[in-house]
Amino acid sequence: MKRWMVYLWLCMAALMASAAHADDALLRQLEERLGRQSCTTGTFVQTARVAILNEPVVSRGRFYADAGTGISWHVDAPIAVQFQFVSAAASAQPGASRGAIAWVARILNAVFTGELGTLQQMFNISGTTQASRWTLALSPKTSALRRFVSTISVEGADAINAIRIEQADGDSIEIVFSDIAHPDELPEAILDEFKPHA
Amino acid sequence: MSSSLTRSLRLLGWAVTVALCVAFIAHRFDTADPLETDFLALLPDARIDVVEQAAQTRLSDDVGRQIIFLLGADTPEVAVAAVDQLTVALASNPLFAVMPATAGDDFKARFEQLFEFRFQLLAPQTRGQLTAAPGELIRGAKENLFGPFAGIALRQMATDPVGLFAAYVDQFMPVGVELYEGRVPLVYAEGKAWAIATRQFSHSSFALTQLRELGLQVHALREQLARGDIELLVTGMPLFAADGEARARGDISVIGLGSLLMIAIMMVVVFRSAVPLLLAVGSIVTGIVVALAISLLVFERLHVLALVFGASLVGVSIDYALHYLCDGLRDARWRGADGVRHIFAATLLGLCTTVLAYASIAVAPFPALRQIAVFSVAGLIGAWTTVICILPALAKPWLRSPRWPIALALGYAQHFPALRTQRVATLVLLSMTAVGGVMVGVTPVDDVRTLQGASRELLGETERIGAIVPLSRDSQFILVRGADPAQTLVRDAATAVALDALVTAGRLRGFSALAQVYPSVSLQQDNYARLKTAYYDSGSIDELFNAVHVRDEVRQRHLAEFAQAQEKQVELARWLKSVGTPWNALWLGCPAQCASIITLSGFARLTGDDLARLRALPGVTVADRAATITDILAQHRVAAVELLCAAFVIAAAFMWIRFGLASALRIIAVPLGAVALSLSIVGATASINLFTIFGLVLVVGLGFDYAIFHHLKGRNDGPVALGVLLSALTSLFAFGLMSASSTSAVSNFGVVLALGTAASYLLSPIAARPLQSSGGEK
Repeated sequence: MKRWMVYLWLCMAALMASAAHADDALLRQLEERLGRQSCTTGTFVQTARVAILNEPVVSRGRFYADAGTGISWHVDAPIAVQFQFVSAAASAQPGASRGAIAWVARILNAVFTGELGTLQQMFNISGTTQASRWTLALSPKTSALRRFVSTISVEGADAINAIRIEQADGDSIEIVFSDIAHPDELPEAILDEFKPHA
Repeated sequence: MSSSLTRSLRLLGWAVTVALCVAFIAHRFDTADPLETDFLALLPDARIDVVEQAAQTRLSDDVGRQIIFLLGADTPEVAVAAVDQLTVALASNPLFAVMPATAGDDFKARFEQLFEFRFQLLAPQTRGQLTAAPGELIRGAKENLFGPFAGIALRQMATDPVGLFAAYVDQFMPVGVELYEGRVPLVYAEGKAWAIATRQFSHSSFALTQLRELGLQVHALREQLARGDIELLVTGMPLFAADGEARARGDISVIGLGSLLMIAIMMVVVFRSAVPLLLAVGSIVTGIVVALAISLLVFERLHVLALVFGASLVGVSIDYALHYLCDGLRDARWRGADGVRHIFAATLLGLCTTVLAYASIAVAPFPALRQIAVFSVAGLIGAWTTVICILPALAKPWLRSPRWPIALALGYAQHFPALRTQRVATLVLLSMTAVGGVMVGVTPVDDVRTLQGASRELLGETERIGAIVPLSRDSQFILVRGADPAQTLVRDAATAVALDALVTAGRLRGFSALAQVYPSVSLQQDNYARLKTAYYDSGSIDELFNAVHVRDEVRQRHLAEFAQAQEKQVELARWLKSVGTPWNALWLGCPAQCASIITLSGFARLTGDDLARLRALPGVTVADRAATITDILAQHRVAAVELLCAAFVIAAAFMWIRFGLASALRIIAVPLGAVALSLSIVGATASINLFTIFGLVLVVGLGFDYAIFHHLKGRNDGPVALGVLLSALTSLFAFGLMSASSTSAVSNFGVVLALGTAASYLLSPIAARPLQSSGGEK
């Protein structure tokens, strides 16, 4: 599963990164607005609409991101499950998790902390701003990525609001964020999740 | 008139012969590369294990041409962008061919062909979980349905709800390596992101010009990337070959030019003319051309070891020319024919002795030794014939030459103490004891790894790459044999289990076995049965479907698909065809016996007990390429020592018959003393290996030559004394400089020869008969 998860995370990373850093002018503008943050937390509601399912799959929970440590994604409903992604900065240390997950976490961290620009290598980015709201449209540059996503849109105001991924065949996933905050540091319990298991 | 006609005919005959030889050599090199560089080709035919040989060939074809590039940068984006640039740069470079896909889009496409067998092709880990904790897999799959961006997990509910195939494909990537954007292999290490690219060196035979080009290209790439703060690490067998080539080229320019320069200076000082140098070099070149042509006529392919050593042996034939040229220093009335008359007997005797000695090498059952024998015999005869037939037509007395070189040479020969026969006999006995003592007392070092001597930079870089990414394979590998494919696969699997334990224990870095990735047909059926029991019959699969409300028709379709898949199985041949390289290289097929290869990484950490346990498994052989070559070198060394002794005895007997016991003792005292001296010093300070023995073969030849000249001409013949001195100096210049070589095989050879040549020269007056007053003919 790990392998496929990479692509998923890649898409999300792309979205979030682009949310703060798009077309150079627009990206700079957004970057200023979002500011550079080392920690980001918030809640999310993810809705997946897939043709083979009778009804959309909705999951809710919180996320915690720290530039130096990684990202923890807590799904609370309908089942409780947690995903940890160690950042690359930490993964260079012995004993830290390696590989795809660490790499994804690095990009996600970039997204949440506002250190962006890397995704322009993977996506063509265009965007619009209307009053206080902004929208970015991302299209993958590589065919490998296009297999997984056709179009991605990201919208926000003072913080990121939502990400939408559309597949060519009509399937889609939407994540709506709320309660975005930038604490000085993550709670101890969250940081513990990243410590290697004894 | 008649003499000038004879002279023209001789020159014509010589020119035609040389031209024919050159044309033949050119023809052979033009049609196919007749040079063998594989050291395994040195194995005597009877001792080759056919299957192991096939495995070696397979691995050297597959791995031997592989070049691995690692591009390190602070961020993966930069590393991947750099690899993309590299790809563009390499695409237009004829030196590099794309590996038959190890990663990327093609990688995925190959596995998509196997998707229909997803219920049969389970990863060993999945199979283990199915038995031990079937609920775990279902739980993990369910969790992924609600994870971030669960789209793919949800979409695959229709075809592979548990995600079996993703887990199966996952294991084909080395641990820690991911596919960035699904195409570029990437790994994190040393605080950097490393993008990986693998290419194949386009040329299967490592021709020197292409290796040189490779070295230059890699250097240029490194510099270019360094400007963008990208670190480039490169390794692969072709780079080791290129490194060897570069150092050999360095050696040739320093040693070759250096010795040529010193010999040229010496000749010009002695003869005050450049003509003698040209004549001497001409005789050697003719000898080598003849030797090469004859060898290529006799042998299908010539091993590079035979060529190099044979050419050195023939190079010694410069002595004939030197003796002839020195003879031209006698007086102004000297004519070319006089020279021939003076040196004919001595050089012929020397030639016969050396030819006899080298020819005896040909009886050895080793292809390379036989080639060396043929090459050197043909070369010596070619060079000698040139000196006797051609030089007289071109040489004249060298009247401007100074007298001091002759005075110097005579001085040494005349001041050497005259030894009684008893003393000489004692010396012979002492020398024999010393040689015997060294041979018995000094442990030879044949390990090929101590002889190759790759540059420290390259070894360090290879080690670093090995630590970053487990792509590199050791020269050691495991060969698993069985009566049929099924038995072989069972044994392969058993071996993989044993290796897994070693990896877990940290005594092996990793391995690549067929059993890890291909379940046998019976295992496939078993996999299906387990899946059926654990998930489909028990209804666990519905748990997944219910969790996300999969539509009924989709469920029914999946269950029907699963039911229909019951009879499916993928045969090994089809599987191998689908996955392609590098995995298909692990199966050797069943020409007589079936065999599979398991490649290893981190072999050096295995203990003797580990190896013994592995070898005890049925059908398992631990093959060690380096050890095999080391064995070959050791066998050749033993054979070379035996032959050297035999050759020596034959030459000594020849001397006894020709000159009687007392004279024979005097003559053999020179080469024997030289061998004893150089062998003792080398044995005490360095190691003894095949190349030191080769050096001794030459020392014996030189020693006999010097001794015979002194014996036939006495101590008071100025030109002869000078001839011997110049011969010794040329050998010393040529071989002495070889001891400075960075390749230890060459250096060993050089040290022995330098010592042996010096000793031969210093001892050579012993051979002169005592109380002999003048240098006339016997």
